Amino acid sequence: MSEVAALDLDDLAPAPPIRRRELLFATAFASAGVVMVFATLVGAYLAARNAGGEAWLEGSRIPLTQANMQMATMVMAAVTMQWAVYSISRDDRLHSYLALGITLLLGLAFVNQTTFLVKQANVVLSEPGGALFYAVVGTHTAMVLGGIVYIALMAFRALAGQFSSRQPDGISAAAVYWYVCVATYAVVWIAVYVMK
Amino acid sequence: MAVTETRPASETGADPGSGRTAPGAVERILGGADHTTLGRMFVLSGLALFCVAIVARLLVGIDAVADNALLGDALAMVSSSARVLGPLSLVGAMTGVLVFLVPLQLGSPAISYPRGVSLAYWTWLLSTIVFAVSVAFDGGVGGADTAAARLGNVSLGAALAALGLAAVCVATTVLTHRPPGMGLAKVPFLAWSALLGSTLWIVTVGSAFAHVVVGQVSRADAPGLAENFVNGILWMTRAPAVYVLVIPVLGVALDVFATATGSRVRQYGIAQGLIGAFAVLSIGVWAQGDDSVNTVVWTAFALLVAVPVLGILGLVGDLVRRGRISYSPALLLSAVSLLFILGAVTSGLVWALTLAGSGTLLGFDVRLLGAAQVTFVAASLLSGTLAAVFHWSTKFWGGRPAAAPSNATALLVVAGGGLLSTAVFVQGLVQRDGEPTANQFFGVLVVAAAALYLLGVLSAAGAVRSASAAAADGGDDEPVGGTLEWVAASPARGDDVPDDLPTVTSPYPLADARDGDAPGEEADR
Repeated sequence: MSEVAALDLDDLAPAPPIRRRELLFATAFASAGVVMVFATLVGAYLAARNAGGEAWLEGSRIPLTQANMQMATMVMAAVTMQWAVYSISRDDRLHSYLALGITLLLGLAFVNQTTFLVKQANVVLSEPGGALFYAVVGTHTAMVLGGIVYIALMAFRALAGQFSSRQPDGISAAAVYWYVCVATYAVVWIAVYVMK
Repeated sequence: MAVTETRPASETGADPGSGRTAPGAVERILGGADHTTLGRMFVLSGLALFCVAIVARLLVGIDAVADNALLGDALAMVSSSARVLGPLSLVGAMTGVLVFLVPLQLGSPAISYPRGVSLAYWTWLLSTIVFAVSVAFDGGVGGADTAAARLGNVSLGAALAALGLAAVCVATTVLTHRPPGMGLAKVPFLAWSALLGSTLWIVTVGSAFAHVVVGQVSRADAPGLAENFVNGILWMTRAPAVYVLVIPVLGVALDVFATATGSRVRQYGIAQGLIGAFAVLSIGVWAQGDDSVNTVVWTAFALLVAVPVLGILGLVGDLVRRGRISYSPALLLSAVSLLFILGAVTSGLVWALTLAGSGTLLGFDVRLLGAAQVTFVAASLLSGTLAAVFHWSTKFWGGRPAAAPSNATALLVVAGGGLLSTAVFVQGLVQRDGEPTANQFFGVLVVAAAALYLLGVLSAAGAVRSASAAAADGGDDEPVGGTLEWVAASPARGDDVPDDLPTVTSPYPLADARDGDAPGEEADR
């Protein structure tokens, strides 16, 4: 006790300022760049498909069922991600961990479904539209993998007690990025799989 | 006193109690995350890489004089690659100015995500060097060697992504590191323009990066990559997207003139609005295809962008009218950087007129008018970067640069930029319908301008050296501006921002503190 009493608070270095929403803003800016990558890729895909006519991916068979399941998976993942944000902002740590875990699981399931779909579709790179197909689908998969790493990192930080109702930014920022992943997949789903 | 086995930490530079030795100079450069160090490295590396681009332009000029005896079939590749490498290096240099100054202007000891900025710097530096190497092996953009062209494509994408990452850090800093009282309406002009410029840069780079991805995924050969560049990336070097590069130049000019004249910008909100209008009119991701040029919207963008530039020139004129004007190289470079933007805008206007109607109204060479735009923009970027480096030289290097090299730099850069940009612009007017009229004469002008540019950048290196020497001799360190960066030590260090920053009640908190908290016209002089 005497050692504690001898501490002079004036000797301690001031704590670094907590800059709330820093990660949130940075994620929003980075997401804006990612959205532009996607908008350009999908725009190029649609323009090339319109120009390609009947020859567009004619040697391939892109199933819709698999893509529908992927869309449902991403919607569920968006709900569980929002569950994590809701829970951490109410200091409900158990449900936060549970929600983050389920989101990660659904994200990995989405990647698994993508690899299955790509194998089923059997799109040849050299055929008209092949390169754009792989550019759109591959970039989105890489984006989702980035989101999985981001959520896992924030989950570990949450486990270490860095986030709470007073500082929920990490989980919120991961959620923003994840929603962008879901929204961009909705565009890919319609442009590449539904409209074919 | 007992004999100790090791020297005290104060002598070794070690952190007491940590058991670690202090990092050496190389370790600080390679592993440091101080935004001031990273900013300086960005600036110096950008200027060095710009010399490579200028050498490429020099070769293009010599080739024109020698009637294509020097470069032969590689002429288009070297010319296109120089058109990319020049802005790429100068955007890096301007990024350095923003990384260095924006946190200081906000009174912040650090930039957002300094390790991210460090990653951006090293990625940009290495990928730009790799791009330059690929040019040497007939790659770059438009080269004939497939392996080298793929290397050029990948390195271009990496450089763009790195600059996008740096822009994320700069924009986040402006939004989250402001001191109490500094709303966005009171942010200094450089930081304001950095926020707008970085945001648009992220968006623009994202779109260009997508085409790099397509080029790589398609495993295109050299001609395919050249076509991918022309169809997917070249739009970044013409109006309206090319104006994104010079948004920070507007902020530099307004801050330099406000400080140099000892005046405040009266219509602060209008000035911020003019920069904002310029930023809106430089959104160019929608104008990627050739069919988007010569449309009503494109023509409107080309015409309207002149309004904010003229407005900012008017505000600068108002500052000069009300303040005590005294010549400095930074002032000359700032003024000329705005005029270069006006030159780029004029090129766009002539381009729009040329394309009016069925596209045969004037018959000017639109390819050369596009090249003139990016040349004007590069000249503005170089002038603006050097203006910032000279104006804030006590913060950058610790002292003021010697008069001779800094004056020589200003004159050489103004002459080189003016000659090169005007030569390409006039060439576009003279060489109608693809006729190579007076090609050798224009080649001589390009050679002369490139030589002036090279001498200017070398002279800038001498000026920086003299500023550092002045710091070692105990150069002057009087704060002269009204914004918070002038409170920082000279040379500035990221973690060395004073705790007792003046209270922010206006865009010029330091001037308020000096003038007894009396913002207004009386405090202007």
